[in-house]
Amino acid sequence: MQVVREQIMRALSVKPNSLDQFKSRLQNLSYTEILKIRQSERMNQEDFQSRPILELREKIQPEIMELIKQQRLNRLCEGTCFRKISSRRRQDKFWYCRLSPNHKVLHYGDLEESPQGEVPHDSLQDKLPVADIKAVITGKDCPHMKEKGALKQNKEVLELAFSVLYESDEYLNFIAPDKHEYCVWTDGLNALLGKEMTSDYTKTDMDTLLSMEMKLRLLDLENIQIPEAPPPIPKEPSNYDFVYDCN
Amino acid sequence: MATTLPFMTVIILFLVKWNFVGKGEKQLSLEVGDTVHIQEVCEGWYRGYLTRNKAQKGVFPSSFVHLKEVNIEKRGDEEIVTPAEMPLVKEVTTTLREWGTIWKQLFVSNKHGRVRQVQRLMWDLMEWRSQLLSGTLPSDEFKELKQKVTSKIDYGNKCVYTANRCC
Repeated sequence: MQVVREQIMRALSVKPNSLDQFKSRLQNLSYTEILKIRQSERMNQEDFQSRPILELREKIQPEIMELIKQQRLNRLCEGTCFRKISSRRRQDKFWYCRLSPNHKVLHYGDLEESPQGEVPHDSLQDKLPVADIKAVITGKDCPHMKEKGALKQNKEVLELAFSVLYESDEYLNFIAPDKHEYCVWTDGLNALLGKEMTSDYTKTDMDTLLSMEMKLRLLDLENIQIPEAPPPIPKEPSNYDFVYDCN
Repeated sequence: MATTLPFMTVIILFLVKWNFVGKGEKQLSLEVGDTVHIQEVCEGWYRGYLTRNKAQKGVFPSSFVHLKEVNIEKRGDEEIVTPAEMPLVKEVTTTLREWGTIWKQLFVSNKHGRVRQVQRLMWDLMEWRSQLLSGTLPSDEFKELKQKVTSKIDYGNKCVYTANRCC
């Protein structure tokens, strides 16, 4: 009941102009939403923006980034089915690409039709050693986006396009099925090249993982006041062997 | 003079309230939120070890930690010290941390559905834990909440540790 009351209060606080607006506002404030709002309000209390907490957040960021990298590479190892879009739509073909378990080779090949699940890499005809990859290119800089024709006009496709440059001038061109796959693949390929992962999904994943990790670490600090300034560090003890006399 | 607490039978629990970077081998670095067991006291420094990893031990300034309430029980010759925290709250804390580890593993292995499932379970439990600690619940609601929490832990353990989705 408490939650219901809070839902109504919050919906009213935005001063809806009609019953319909009120109803839709209520719908957006599901039980889960209320829980999340309460959680984030708790997190945003002054204490949680305090220095040691921000310091700790920064400190654990790299290990969280490592988790995201592992997840991206695991996804690449599972592989994805891509479409080769041609200007004659009836001739769209499928091809599959996946990373080898040791992360050293990209296996890829054409498919007759859309696969039901993962395609094993020994049924993919071609391969590209990761060591040969020079760069990852995205969007309008991709060679398959620079070609003349209908493809270039389609903004949606531009946002899903990426290419891998290997040797000095050979390209493997991709069009991701959706934004999620686009992010996973560009992140994964950048990670293979030792570069930073910069997709939108990296930011949201980092946020989710980092906040959860921080919440878990700070559970015992509930209701405890964090000091405003760093505590003083006393002079080092004259003798580290406390058990004996430490005059 | 060094004050040595009775050997091994009394353990005092402290909570880290500011990050401390130890200098050299003898000093123990601390991260805010950690809990430490204290064994000895000297000149404004404590010697102790991290609750989560007994192998990490050393000395650190007493100013960086905050005493958690403790209970001291005498059992025969022994004094048993336990935090004055509600046992249920302690159970929730341990459970959340265990689930947290699994949750990260699920994320890395791309089990998106289960990641969301476990995440929701954890958020619910965290919220209820805060309510238990808030001290603002009337006793009926408090009892009800404790039951909800216990059921959620049982239910959650089944979900988190089996391969199948269940929520």
